[in-house]
This record gives sequence, structure tokens and C-alpha cells, in this order.
Amino acid sequence: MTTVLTVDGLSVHAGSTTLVDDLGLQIRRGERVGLIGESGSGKTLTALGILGLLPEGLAATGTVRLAGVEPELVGASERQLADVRGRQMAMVFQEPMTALNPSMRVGAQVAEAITIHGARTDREARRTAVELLGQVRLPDPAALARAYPHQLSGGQRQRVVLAIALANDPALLICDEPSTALDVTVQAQVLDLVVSGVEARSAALLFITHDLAVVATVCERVLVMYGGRLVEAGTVHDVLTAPRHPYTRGLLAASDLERVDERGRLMTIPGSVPPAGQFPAGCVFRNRCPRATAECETVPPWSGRDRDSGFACFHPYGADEPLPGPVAPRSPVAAIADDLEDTARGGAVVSVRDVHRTYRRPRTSLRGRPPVVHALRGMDLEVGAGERVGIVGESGSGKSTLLRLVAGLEQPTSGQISVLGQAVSGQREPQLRFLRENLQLVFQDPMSSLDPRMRVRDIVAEPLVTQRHRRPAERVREVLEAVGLDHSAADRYPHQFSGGQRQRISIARALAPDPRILVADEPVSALDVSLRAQVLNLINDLVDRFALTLVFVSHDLAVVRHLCERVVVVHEGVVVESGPTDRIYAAPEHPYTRQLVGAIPTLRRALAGHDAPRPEV
Amino acid sequence: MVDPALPTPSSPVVHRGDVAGVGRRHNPSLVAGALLVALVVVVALVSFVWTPYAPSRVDTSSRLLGLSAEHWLGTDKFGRDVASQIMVGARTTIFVGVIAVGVAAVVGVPLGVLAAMGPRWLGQLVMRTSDLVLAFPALLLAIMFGAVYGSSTLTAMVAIGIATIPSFARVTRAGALQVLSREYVLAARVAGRRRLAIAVRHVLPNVSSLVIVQVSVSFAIAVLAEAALSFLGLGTPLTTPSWGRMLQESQELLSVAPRLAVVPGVAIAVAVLGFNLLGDGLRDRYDPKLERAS
Repeated sequence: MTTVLTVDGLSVHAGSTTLVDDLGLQIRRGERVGLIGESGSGKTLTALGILGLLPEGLAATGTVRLAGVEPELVGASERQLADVRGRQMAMVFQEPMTALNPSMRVGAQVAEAITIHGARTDREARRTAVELLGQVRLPDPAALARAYPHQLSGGQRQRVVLAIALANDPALLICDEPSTALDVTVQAQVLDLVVSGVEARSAALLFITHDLAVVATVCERVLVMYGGRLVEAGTVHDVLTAPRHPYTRGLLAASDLERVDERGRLMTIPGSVPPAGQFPAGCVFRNRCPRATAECETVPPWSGRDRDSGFACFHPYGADEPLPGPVAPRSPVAAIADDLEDTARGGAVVSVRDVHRTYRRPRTSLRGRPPVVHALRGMDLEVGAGERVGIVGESGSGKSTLLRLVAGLEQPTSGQISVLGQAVSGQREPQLRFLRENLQLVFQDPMSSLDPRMRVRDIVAEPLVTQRHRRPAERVREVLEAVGLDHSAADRYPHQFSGGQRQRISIARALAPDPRILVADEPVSALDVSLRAQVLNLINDLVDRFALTLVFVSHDLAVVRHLCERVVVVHEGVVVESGPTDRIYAAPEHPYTRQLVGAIPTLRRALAGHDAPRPEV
Repeated sequence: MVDPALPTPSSPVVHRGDVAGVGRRHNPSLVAGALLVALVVVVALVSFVWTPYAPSRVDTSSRLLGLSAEHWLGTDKFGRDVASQIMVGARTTIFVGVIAVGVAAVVGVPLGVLAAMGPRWLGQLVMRTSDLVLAFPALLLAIMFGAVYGSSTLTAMVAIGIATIPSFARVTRAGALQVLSREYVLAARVAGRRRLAIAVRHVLPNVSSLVIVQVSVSFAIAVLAEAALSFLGLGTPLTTPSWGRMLQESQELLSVAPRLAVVPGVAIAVAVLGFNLLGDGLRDRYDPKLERAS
């Protein structure tokens, strides 16, 4: 097979800081290679370095060779690069919202990609564009070509981006987390299209992701990055079943939500990814590595003969050493869930009865009524005292609306909501004091849920102030300690913390008033796997320790399965199925639930398919 | 009780802007703007204790002199020392800026917050009213005020201030709407904070950088407006030196002594440029922080 891409000694620098260090890789024709690692490991910069698209202030050294292209790309001029980009190599970015020009029809954007490089006429380009839109299985491509990006869903937009990338039959396609921003069912379809699109053209694929299950579904070979260096490489099967490098092992253990230790806790990698430029000298992983010795202060050599397989570690694990921790056959809460069916245990602390919520959109025409969006259409939910309930649904299912209503932040259009036996719906803020004392929220985005202008001390104390707590300073220290933060954190500002630490602060704030009910809205979806495991363990511990009732909203059934004993599946504003988590996971009844469960990429399933031919997703 | 399995995240993370090494500290327009504004302020302060001559001292024996050691910037048609007038005029300029921007900010910012947080109809009322005021040229408003209340620096500047209220209200409302969409505002509501507390503790601090920029830009506009009004003879009374009126008086002698127009013109340009650069610099300094919060 011919080599399409050869990267040698690629480094990316920002001033004196090295962000990508001496990276080498090669991809052959028709080969699908995954590049994995947590955020901050340099994956995206590697891709941008290959494409010559590094942001200003960053400079690349090394060589990047694309088969049949002269000269080598790192030293090439912008003009030469522009000629190669979009023709011989193309990229699909993570965010389909911003990758398209909002003021151009999507068909024209695909056609533009063709005419830039080809000598074809506009009419011909437009016809090819419609063909391409059909190839990415968009319904009625001719009509859809005339749509503007905002008229399409996220999944449709990502298909358009893919069509643009494939327009000139590139020899190399680079995808940077193309499905991360999408719902699971849509994710599966997009991944399938990437694979079939690449296969049809025998193109080489470099696929960047942090999700091991996704990489196992899409790729044949995988490269593991940490701290700007390649730490391990090999076939998907080898690397993901018998990892040699401690980082790969940690990553693998942390991302497996069914792998828990004897205390029912998820495996974690200690600490978090340091910011760029603050990785230790020598082996970049040594400050988080359980096997680090003095020897690791020098850079470990690459073990393999080429960059296709091998690892960089002085103390690798043996290929036959099992991963740490027994694989729990069931989630830790499964045992208590056995005698549970749909009904809530004990008295209901949260009760939602036949709740509707509609939003009125702005008028679109002078005649006719303004359009109405039905977010909830007859929602019912009961949560018993001490129960852990997961609410699962895709975006637009109404799960966030439900949370806002339960938290008394909005009013339902009709129906009753009560918490701890007291009405929440139809009440004014002064009557909701009981709710503020007993129910607290943890938000999804640790960046936007903390006021950037307030010190952590004031953020955590906020719920205490309104309740006239007698010793707020003391309570702040208590809860910060409970979430594993040093009390010196109290004097800092949120931007001084990493995402995982900020989520801890957010949890500390929720715990401060000693609530009985904790409502978490996708608290781990913005976090990397190792942090996800840490935060899930933390929530698990705190719920036990403070005897909380947990309502956990997520789009990720696996996360809910780990944490919750009962799951409620929400679709289009109604509950479609509800029951013990394990039953739903093992034997979903409702067609939507079945679709949801089937779409989740799991590592086990993907790896099972790796010896046999790849299963259709 | 800290769980041993949990890491102790003790070292805070350096935020992104600092990593790239391109410092935020070095900001040329901020430095240049601050220097020019400082120059105007220092000159105004010095004029309280010392000027080369009394600014209104008429000396018919030394009319229309050129630049010299005795009169650095020469004299005007009454023999008054131009340098002294410029120094005292700086006071007027700053006074004008403070009054006009003060009126605009003190009224405009709360209105903007109210428009963002209050009931829908109130927000609409505030915004439509400000559209109305915006449609009115600021100078026209000042001329009307002058006609009704008698022309003085104060009335002129209050009028300019009122005309600037809508810009402050708009900027504040836009910023406040953005802040209100953040989850920390929801968190504050869940914590039981009332609207007023949210406005004071969360919204105002987070729109402050926008307001600061608006202040510096409006300052420059007010200085220009005062100069224009004085030029028309509607602003500062005859007894108080003002750059605008110096310009007006120079008009008839433009062909004889163009210097008389150039000097106050340069002074106005320096002040306006200074405030504009300062505003740009402050925006560059604060906007990334706002970006990062999103």
C-alpha cells in the first residue's frame, strides 16, 4: 500500500513553549487512523499543523509530506498550501454550527469547494454538489441544497461539512471530533458516513477524538497522545485491549463505566492534564503515573521500529497483564434496584403530574399566529426519597425544560409540580424558600456556571447568604473539603481552575445549603474521560454521604447506568419508558429506547467487531 | 475528610491568554491613550496653581504675537496668552466630559439593566424611547436646552449627557442580556437571590468592562460637542476659556494668524484621540475576558 501522509519530527511551538513535540506518523491509502487523548494533549494542534492552519503566534517545525505533492508542507507557502487544502487533504471540524457560512445556501458552499480547485463550470459544480449531498444521505438533496445552514439540524449540517470535505476526492481526510457535538443516534449515522465516504475513495483518514468507543468503531489503527507527544501506537485491537503505556491504561480504565473497583468506584487517572508548557520534563506523564521512577526524568525512547506501533515508556505493562479492577457485571447500585419497579420507593419528594410547557416563538409573518414549540407535552415523574433517578433524552427532548420547572425557575403552561409535598408550580419566588433550601442544581457547563468576577468563596457562599446561614465561612470550607478542593481555593477566581476543578466548585455550591435533593444537568458531558470518572465518583460519594436524592439528567445512558438505579427515558416532551436502569439497558421495550441503546458506541461492542468484519452501525 | 483517591488539585491553572506568551500587558493603544489623557489632566491641574499669565489678561500692546519665550504659543487679538488659555481650557474640557458622561452613565446603565431584566413591556418602552432620543441630534438638543435654560457649560453638557443616555442603555442592555443567559445567573436564582441582588452582584460587574469602554468613547464625543457648541457660541460663556471658543474666535483671523486655530485644534485632537485610544485599549483588555466566559 502506498503511504499517503508521512509526518516526521513535527513540533509546534508558541514562543518558548512546546505544544507538540517531535511527532511522527504515517497513514497509508485507505487506512483509518485514530488520534486519541484528552483535551490539552495536542491532538487538534497536530491536525492544524499538518494542514498548515496553525493560529497566529504558533509555529511548526519538522516535515509533513503528502504523496504526490511537492514541496513538503511545513515549509510550503500559503499559496501552495491553499492549493493542496480542500483538494488533496480536507478537514471536518467539531462544531457544525460554525463551520458553514450562515449567509450562503449549503449547495453553493459545496459547489464552491469544487470550483475553487476544479475547472468545471458553475452549473456542473452545482450538479455535483447535489450528488454529494445525496451521497451523505441527506433527504431530497436537490431541495436541501437551496437551504441555509440555520434551517438544518446539527447532524444535517455536519453531513454538509462532510460533503464539502469529500467534494474533491481528497487523498487524506482529517476529522476533529466530528460527532462530539451531536446526539448519540445522529452520531452513529455521521460516523458511518465518514467511514463509507473514506472507503469509497480509498482515502486515508486521520480521526481525532477523545472517545475510545468511537475510535474503536471507526479506526483500524490508533495513536495515543499526551502532553504533545505520542505515547503509544498500534492497532486498535492491541492498544485498546492490551495497552502498554500507563496513560493508555488509565484512559481505558477511566472511560469504561462498567469497570469499577471493589468499592464500586470508577477507575481514575490521578490529577488532571496540566496546562500547556507545564508538563514535567522527561516523560510527560510521570507526575500522574503510578510507575514513575527517577529514570523517567529523561525522555523515554520509542520502543517500536517505526511509528506504526510501539510506546514510549521505561516501565510498560506487559501485553498480557490484565487491566486493573474486576469488571463488575452490573452497576454498583444494581443490587438495591432489584426489588424496584417503576414505582418510587418511600414518599415522593419530587412529583410532576401531566405537565405541559409551550414556548411561543417570535412571529414569522404578520398574518397567522406565532409558532408554538411544545417542549413538554404531558410529562409525569415521581422521585422517591433517597432515590437516584436518571433522566435520559437527546437534545430537544425537553429534559432541560423539565429541570427548570422542577427548580422553580420557570412556570409550566399546565399541570402540577410539587417538591417535598409543597407546590412549586404557580408559586411566586417568596413562597419558594423551602425549595431553595432543599433542592440545588449542578450545571452542565463549568465555564458559564460560575461568575467570572466572583471569588470561589463568594460563589459557594451564595446560597448561604440568602438563607442567612450563621457561619457561612465555615460551611464554605466544609463543602470545599467535601468536594476535594483545598481551602486556599476559596480566594481564587474561577478562571484559575481547570474544567474538572470548576465542576467541583459548582458541586460545592450546590451542597452548601445542605439540600435534600441534588439535581444535576449533564454535569460530566463537558469533561474529559479521566475527569468524568473523578466527578462521577465524587457525586456518587456525596450522594451516599449526605443521603441525597439524586436527579441526574444526561444524554449518555452509560453514565446514568453507573450512577442511577432508575432511569426515565424522555422523548419529544413525554416519558416513553421508565424502570430499573439495568432492565432498560438490557431489555429496552419502547422502540425509541431500543434505538438509543443500540446507538451508543461501546468499546466492548466495537472491539468485538474488530476481529470479525466491521458491523454496520 | 478528603478522599485519598481524589487528587488534590492544588495548583491553579494558568488561563489560556497567558499560555501563548503574547502578553496582554503590552497594549500600545492603552498606553498611548492613557498618556495623552494624563497630559490633558495634568495640564488642567497645573492651571489651578500656575499659568504663564492670567488667561484673561488683556494686553493691547502685545496683540497677535507669534511663538516666543514670553508667549510660548503666542497671543490672540486681545493680547491674551494662548498657552494660558489652553491650560485653563483643559479644565473646561474635563469638566464637560465628567458632567456629560456622568449624566449619561448614571441614568443609562440602570435603564439598560432594567430593560434587560424588567418585564417585557418595560424593556420595550425603554428601548423605543431611547430610539426616539437617538433620532434627535445631540447638538440640536443642546441648542434647545440653551434656548430654554440659558446657555452655560452646564446646561450644554447636561443636554449632551441626556442625548448620550441611549448609547449607555443599549450597550448595557446588550451586555446584560448576554450575562443573563449564563448559567451562573440560574445558579444565583436557585440559590434564592432576588432580582435586585442578581442585578447588583452578577449583572453589573460583568457588564462593567463594556461600560468602561462606552465611557471613554462618550468622553471624546462630549469634548467634541462642547467645542462645537462653544464654536457656535452656545456653550461656555465668554468669561471662561474654552478650546471650542478659541477656535471660534480664530475664525476671522484665519488668514492672518492660522496658529490661533491650529493650537486649540491640536489640543482638541489630542484629548479626543487620547480618550478614543484609551477606550480601544480598555476594550482590548477586557473583551477577551468576556469572551472566555462564553
